[in-house]
Amino acid sequence: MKKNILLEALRSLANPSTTKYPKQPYVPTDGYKGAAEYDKDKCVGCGACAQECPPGAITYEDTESTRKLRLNYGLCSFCGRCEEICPWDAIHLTKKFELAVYDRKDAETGIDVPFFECIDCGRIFLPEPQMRASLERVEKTLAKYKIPKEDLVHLISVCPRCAFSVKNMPERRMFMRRLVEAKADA
Amino acid sequence: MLRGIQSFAKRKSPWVMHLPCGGCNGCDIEVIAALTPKYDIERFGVLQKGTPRHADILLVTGIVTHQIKDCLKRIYEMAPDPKCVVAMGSCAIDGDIFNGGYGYAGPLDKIVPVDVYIPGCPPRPEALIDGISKLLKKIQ
Repeated sequence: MKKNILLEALRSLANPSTTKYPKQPYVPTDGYKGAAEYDKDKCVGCGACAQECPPGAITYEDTESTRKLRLNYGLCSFCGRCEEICPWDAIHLTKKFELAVYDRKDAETGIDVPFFECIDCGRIFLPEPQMRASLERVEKTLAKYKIPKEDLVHLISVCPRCAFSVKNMPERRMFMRRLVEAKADA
Repeated sequence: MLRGIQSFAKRKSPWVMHLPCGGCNGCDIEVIAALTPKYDIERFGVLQKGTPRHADILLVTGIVTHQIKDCLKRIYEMAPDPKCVVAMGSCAIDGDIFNGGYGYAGPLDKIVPVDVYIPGCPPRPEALIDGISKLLKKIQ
């Protein structure tokens, strides 16, 4: 009996089961849900994550020139809904877990996205990267019907209020007619 | 010299009282895990104590409910000075998914002063060790 205990003690001395965590960094296994972080190159600032976040940890605030997306780790439940919902694949749960802070205002991450200004009236209406991304998408579709991109750029770069103004309406109508005809031809 | 001994003792034996206030008990399980031989938080001199009178650190997990709010204040006053409070888990910091619920009495730092916040739902035992070591750095 005593011999067994001694043997076990020796074994655990030679091969301790305790982790050496603070001295050696620890990397969680795959699939671990750690702190979520934004990808600065991919985020367009649409705010889908802020709408879907179950505890409301992600909020956005629109200032004059930028949209400020903020993720508060103190409210975050690390569920990964933002990663699921993001249409641009721009927010990911990382393996970061060392989030301890002295001031709770530090426990957050965020991204500032610039706004796009309406080329007619100068009012802000859409984040700039989202504008670029949607232009790219529309361009692909237009290439199918052989309509040059330049025809569309002016129509899409005006805010909804200007788009339906008397000045812009004829151009819009013409474009729609061309699109319908091109579709019919195809 | 006496001060030196005092600060050495403070750094080397932070006794902890674990105080679950409400919520889902996920963080409590992680605290228990941190006390097991695998993570062995006793390496840093951390001992778990059953009474606030023996504790230097109050480790609060879970949301602060209306029911426990007054008890929490009393327990905080019971602990001898100097004392620290660690808010463990997102619930203690800002309420997590319970934020805005009928039983939610507000974030922990509106009720008692908090020294270290450990976000996570629940935080890993490693995150707890990280938080405690950051707290010890602050005491130093």
